[in-house]
Amino acid sequence: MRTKLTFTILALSAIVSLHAQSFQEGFLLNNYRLSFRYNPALHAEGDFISVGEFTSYSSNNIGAGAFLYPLEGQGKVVTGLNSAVSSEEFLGALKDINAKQTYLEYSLFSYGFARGEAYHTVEAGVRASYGVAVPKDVFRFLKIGGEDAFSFADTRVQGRLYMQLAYGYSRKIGDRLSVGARAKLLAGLYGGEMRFNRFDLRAGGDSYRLDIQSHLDLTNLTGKMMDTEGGFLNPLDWSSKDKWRMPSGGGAALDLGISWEIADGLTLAASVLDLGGCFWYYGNAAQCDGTATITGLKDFSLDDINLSGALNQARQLGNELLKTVQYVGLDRHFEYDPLPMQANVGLRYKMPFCEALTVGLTGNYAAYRILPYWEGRLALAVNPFDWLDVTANIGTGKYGMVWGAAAQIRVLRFRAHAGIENGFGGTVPYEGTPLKANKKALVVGLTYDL
Amino acid sequence: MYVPVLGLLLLAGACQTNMEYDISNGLLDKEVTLFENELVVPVGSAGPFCLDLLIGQLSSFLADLGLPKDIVSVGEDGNLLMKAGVNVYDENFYRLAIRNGDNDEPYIWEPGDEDMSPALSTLLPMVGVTLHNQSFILEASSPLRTAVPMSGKITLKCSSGEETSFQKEVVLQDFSLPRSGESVVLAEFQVPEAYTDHDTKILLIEPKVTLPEHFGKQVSGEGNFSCILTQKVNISLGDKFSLPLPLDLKVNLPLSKAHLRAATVTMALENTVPLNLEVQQVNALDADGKEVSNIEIVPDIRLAGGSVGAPSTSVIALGIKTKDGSEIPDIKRISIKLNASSAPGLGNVLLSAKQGVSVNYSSIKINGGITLFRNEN
Repeated sequence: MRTKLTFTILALSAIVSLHAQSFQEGFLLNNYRLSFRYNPALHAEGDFISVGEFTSYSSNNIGAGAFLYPLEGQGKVVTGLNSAVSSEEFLGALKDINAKQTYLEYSLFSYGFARGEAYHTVEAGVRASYGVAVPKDVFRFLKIGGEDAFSFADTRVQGRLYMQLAYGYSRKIGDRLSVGARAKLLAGLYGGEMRFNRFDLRAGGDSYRLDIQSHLDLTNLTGKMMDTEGGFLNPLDWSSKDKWRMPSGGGAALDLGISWEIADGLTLAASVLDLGGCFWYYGNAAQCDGTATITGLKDFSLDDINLSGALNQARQLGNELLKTVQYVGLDRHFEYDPLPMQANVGLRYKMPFCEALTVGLTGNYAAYRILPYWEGRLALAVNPFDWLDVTANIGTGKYGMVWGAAAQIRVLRFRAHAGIENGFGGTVPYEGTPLKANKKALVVGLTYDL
Repeated sequence: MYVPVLGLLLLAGACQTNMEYDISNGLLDKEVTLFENELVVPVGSAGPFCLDLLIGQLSSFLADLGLPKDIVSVGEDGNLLMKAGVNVYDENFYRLAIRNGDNDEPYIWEPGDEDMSPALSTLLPMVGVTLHNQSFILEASSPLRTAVPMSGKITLKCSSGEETSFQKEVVLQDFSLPRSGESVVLAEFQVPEAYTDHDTKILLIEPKVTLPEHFGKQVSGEGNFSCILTQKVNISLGDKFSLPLPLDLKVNLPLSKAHLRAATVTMALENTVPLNLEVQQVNALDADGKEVSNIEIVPDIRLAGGSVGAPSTSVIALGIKTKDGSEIPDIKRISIKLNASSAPGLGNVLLSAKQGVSVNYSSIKINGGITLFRNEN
């Protein structure tokens, strides 16, 4: 029992970052109930219900291998900022903008049912996304210092959480053509973004000069950031008095799809997902636009030449610096945030000599804001028993070679499915963090045939 | 049902793990070295550190010469002022009354001539200090309840060798010492600037105080007849001035935590003191004041003298490292051996409380980076 529990925990703990992208393997799995997510024109035979499905996706254009360096013969791993790692090696492994993006989706329930020629789906769930981008110059400054100009522009952090209610409709047109659409209603719960449009640091012998322009947007579902004197925002002072007591945003999106059985067993499907977006209401909005020149402490005395004196002076210097770069509150405003559009295309062929065997090709493009992504895969699916479907694929994408696998098991009316997508290049043991630039996905779900 | 499926997936993922990157169980060394090339941190500006901060130091130096303590102060014009007083005579009335006995006639008290060589005029030129605006005030007071007549002559005499170069005289004629509680100026002299470097004396010749009969009954309690000579002078540092200035600073810098190997402190200084300053030696000390022998501090500090109207600017550097190339340990105290000497051409610039040294700009350059989070095990 403990072993099973441990195994489960380990498995679940590997789900560090979750995926809200379409499940490519679903196109190849036989009778996969949730294929409408990949392409709204696709659907399985029969009615079903699903309660709880986890999908996750993470994409990073740089892996842990750029930050971790095993030392030969010493049995330990150091970071890129360790003196044992040269600046050329560490900085050479970084990208100009180093980014990680994560999408999560939890489906509260899905219901699919056929009525006449049409197939309907209703789904409700929660979606979340968060991402961070850090320019290389941040690490260059930390690693080598020196007197130089550094640009930390394009640093950004963003996160969104919203609920989704979707209705899908697909219909056969003739014997071989199916079309479908899925309309999604979105309700934004929490959203925020901080981005530095300009963040220049010029380190000279007698001064450090900062030039910052930054924008901050936060919804105020839980509270309103208070103003200080002078109109600056105080991130430590929140008031629930003026909080927005409704969803912080609303929007809609549309999925469109088409599926065409070109010949017996040969199907071509194409879809475009997430056409639309969400209007967010930012009750906490601020902008920082200023320059600061740090010439050091002013009027230090002989009494300050010790740690506590220096810390005290540095604290005062920090306060002065903060006054220069503090965020000035802006008027509350609406802002439109488009969902990342996705395009899928797939071709599958059920072998005439062995219907249990299917080969296929899939392609995907996702217009993620920080890290747009593309890939193509060659897939093989096997349905050796009517209760077991297995598929595996290999391909290439923006970050190199990729692979994927999924399985579906049917027991009575229950169908459990799980799938994983990953790149090559290894992971950090016991953590699963990819060592190279990577797109990783994990899907786990359970449906019940009605 | 999920477990076998997830287990297979996890196994598939496990096949990709690279055990070289195992960071579990403390295998990740978190030590980082930031700013490996160099880090220049502007420290800031400070000062001016004016001469009035050194008044205590200067007074101690003069006390070692035999002068009274606390003789240095700041005059109304902002210049440093040295003021020394000496009792010419200080006679208790009771002793005089005993000497007079129960005489019914007035008592003429003649304390005797005094030949005074004021201490500042004697000692300061010996250490290279030049006197300016030298003045003397001779004051007297009486403890009696009535005024008493006084006569005598007070002479200021400046001489060069055997010859008298300047002389001024005040004769006390029809003069009275006021009653108790009030003092009176007997004479006030200003030494002309041209004779500042000449030997100066104050002569009190044939002083006489005519005390009334039974004067012993006119004072209640204690009371003294006193005469005080006060000398005031502004100073400048002549061409021969040289003064060692040891400084002991408590700094308490925990440098060992940053694992530094070398650092250079650079300062742009502005000096309005007419003194050349040279740092001869800088030592790091531990909390007990003992020298930390492994730390080497290399000063390259020569600050030229200046004045308020024409300050001098110098860029100085202080290099800190260890002799064996190891990391710099904590520094609790720093002792600095400074030598101040006169600046050519500025020997006649009066020392002023407004003169001082300003740090217009300073920075610390650290080579080799700052190491943090080192695992000492």
